[in-house]
Amino acid sequence: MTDCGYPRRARRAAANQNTTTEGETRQMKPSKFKFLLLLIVAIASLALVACGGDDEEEGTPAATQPAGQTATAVASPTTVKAYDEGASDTEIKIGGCYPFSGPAAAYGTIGKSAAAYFKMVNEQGGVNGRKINFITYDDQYSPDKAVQCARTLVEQDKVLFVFNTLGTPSNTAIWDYLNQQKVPHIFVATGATKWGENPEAHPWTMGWQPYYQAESAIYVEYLNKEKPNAKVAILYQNDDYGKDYLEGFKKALGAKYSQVVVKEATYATSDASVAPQVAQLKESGADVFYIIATPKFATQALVAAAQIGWKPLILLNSVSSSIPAVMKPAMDQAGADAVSNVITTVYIKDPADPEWANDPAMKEYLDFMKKYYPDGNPNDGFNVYGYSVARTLVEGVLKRAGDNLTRENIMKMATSIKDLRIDTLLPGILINTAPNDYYPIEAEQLAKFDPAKATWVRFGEVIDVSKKRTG
Amino acid sequence: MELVRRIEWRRNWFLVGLIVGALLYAFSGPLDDLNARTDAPGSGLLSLAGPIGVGLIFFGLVGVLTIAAAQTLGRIAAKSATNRRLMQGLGAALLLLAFIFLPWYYDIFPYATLYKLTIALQWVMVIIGINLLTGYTGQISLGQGAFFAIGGYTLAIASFHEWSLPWAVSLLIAPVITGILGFLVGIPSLRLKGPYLALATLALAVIIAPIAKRFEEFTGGVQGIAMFGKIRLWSIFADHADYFWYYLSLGAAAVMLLVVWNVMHGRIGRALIAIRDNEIAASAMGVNVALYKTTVFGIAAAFAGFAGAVNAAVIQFASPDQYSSLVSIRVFVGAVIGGVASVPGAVFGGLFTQFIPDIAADVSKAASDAVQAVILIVFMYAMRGGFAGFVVQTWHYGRRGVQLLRPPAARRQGQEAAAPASAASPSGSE
Repeated sequence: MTDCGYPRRARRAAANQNTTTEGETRQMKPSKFKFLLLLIVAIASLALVACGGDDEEEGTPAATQPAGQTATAVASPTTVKAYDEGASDTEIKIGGCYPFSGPAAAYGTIGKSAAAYFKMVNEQGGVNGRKINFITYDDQYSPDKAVQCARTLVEQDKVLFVFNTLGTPSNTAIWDYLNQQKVPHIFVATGATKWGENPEAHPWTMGWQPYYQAESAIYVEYLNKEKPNAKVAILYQNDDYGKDYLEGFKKALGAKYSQVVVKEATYATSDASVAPQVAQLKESGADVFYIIATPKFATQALVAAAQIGWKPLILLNSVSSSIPAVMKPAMDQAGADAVSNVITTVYIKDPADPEWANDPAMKEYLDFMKKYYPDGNPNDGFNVYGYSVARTLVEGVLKRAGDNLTRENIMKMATSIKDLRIDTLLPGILINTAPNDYYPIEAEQLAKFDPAKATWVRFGEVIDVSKKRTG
Repeated sequence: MELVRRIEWRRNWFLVGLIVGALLYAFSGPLDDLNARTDAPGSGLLSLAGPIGVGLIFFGLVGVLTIAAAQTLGRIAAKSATNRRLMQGLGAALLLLAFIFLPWYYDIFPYATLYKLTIALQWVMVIIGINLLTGYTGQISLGQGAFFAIGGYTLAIASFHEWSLPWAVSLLIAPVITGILGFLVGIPSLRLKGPYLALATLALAVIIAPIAKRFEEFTGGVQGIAMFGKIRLWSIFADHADYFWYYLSLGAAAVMLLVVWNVMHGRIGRALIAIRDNEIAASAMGVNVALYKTTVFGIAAAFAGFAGAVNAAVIQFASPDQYSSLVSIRVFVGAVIGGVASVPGAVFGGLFTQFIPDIAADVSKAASDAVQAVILIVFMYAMRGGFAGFVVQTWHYGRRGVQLLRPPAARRQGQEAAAPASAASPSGSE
């Protein structure tokens, strides 16, 4: 072997470093540099894993009553079979995008429990003899990944429709595309008002859970009844989520808004603390404090109010009604007084609530979790959410669609649900949609926190805001 | 027994990997069944057999093919410098051709869609910038995601939100703006070194999303800027938008790879490596350290900015959530795994960045972050030079001649003493 073909530089390197070509000399770096690189990669991957626990605004189900299931009227079974892409005699193919990894990975369990529900339906014979094939992809709660996911589902997997994709930004990124493709995009897992605000502009997109403005309207109704002379101070997160809630409050109060609301304050998610804002709000002399904040900031607000000796009636948005994430920490930091006068809304049964221990619907749910999703935490409200939304799809849309599985008919069914009862939702809550009503769940019940038992105690009637909106 | 003991495990691990991988793959079906039937703790690990098997087979094949190529092509390449260059050119041309014709056969690869491949090429653009900056010049930047975001927002704001410049113009403005910004960011890098520079650039990556949320009137706030259906292509491309963006990304990525390759094989490249290896020595030899460092920062930022602009045009959406600090970390990880001081490594890095979340989610939906972390650890442990480093190492091993068995104990000592000297000549041939 002669190595006269090698460049001279390389040969010298070979002699010095015991390597052969210049390619490898390039690879060789001082060990210090290499070590640093390794260190940084290690730290970076640590950061990747550690980021899995941000709080965000999506639906946070909370506590609370049973009732029999009034199944939707069975639609007249059409004898004509009609299929669009994704449907056949044996299969209904649907897709969804969820954050299984990344900063909002905690929400990913919704997708998994929904998939487990479909698995159960398939084992019991499917829907009208067809198996549901639920294809999900990880979008990491990132809109660009959601676009990739939606396009893969539509163009490659050729799904019949997209179901329950999670996150306001992610859904915003894909709804134009799906509407242009005329692919149903139904029961999205986000509470933003815009999913049902203008059905003409986006006729193929529909929400599921109560929207933020509905919740604000419920608080207004409560105040009108119980505290007609209330002076309200509002703390809200300065983004579309906070403004959505605020807008609902404004709309529900109408002309009275300027009298009722004495002070507004905002915070940004980058703020270290909301204590200064709370102090300002106290000075306004308000006797009602409406907290529109994600869990971390809601806790801060509760603690700050207690520490400066402000004892208003507190309205806490349901996004932050979690007991372990908000109420417990606030109680630990500022005592039971901080949470003794707090009201929120709930619409879904909380599996951890002892009230449901003997509830047949929740028992059924727990059996389902044990059998079809044993890795999931049955007490996680997000799993009840996934179970309920999947059930809404099967009972409210797919069964009624019969053999007419075209995209148009799916949308027709989704916009004509009448008094559907999903028994993991609170008693009295019925799902209703219409071609001009794209808000499936519009009823919620108020609940007051009981510090002694550390639970939400529901009170009053289930309040349905749909009549208010249309009337 | 003696035979088993004499097998060279370490050097021929890919052969072992092939065998073990094939076995795991063959038995993954029954193992999955077993997993489904038992509730024993840890039985979930059984379902990992398939994916691990596939991974081992992949790297085993890469190893075997590299050795085969080293033994045949390598010998030709070693004859003269012209041959060597010819071979490299041929390899690059083949790779380019493979990508050019990819739209016709991409569906044989799992997870691949034309759309995802387009985005993978955009990661390649970002990563080649990181390679130039980190691999060759030794400046660690965790802030490339910020330039990516600025590129994306430049297109969105200039063409669709504030002004209505033609999108093609914005596409060209984006790298200019990010290039200038990168140059400016490069200035503090003259004072900061190593982890301090990494932290300073990480700060860039972290603040970009809050800034975008803050200046709502320009950036559309949390809602972002939707560009769906607003990008008009020239009529001939209008019906084939996906192909247009794919080839645009491919062309841009190829040009960037070529630029970096040429830079690294010339005067500037030597100067950059000198700066990386020893800054003081480099400046003593007359290298203008400050100028080179800031320029390289600017180039890397311009690459990322262009990639970001094309990305926003393809996604047709720009919002703070898609530009989280994780983007910077993911591309950096991709760069290191591809091979941080290697031009072809960037291609692998880009594909890795794009497809590894899909693969990880497929392996386990419950712990896809953890799966990604494990893959990263395995890579860092088994292939310190990244994928490119692995191929280069295997190539050299192939050139020296494959040694399946260790020489018998009696001869070993003599052989080892002779090994360094014979490193350049393949034993068992000629």
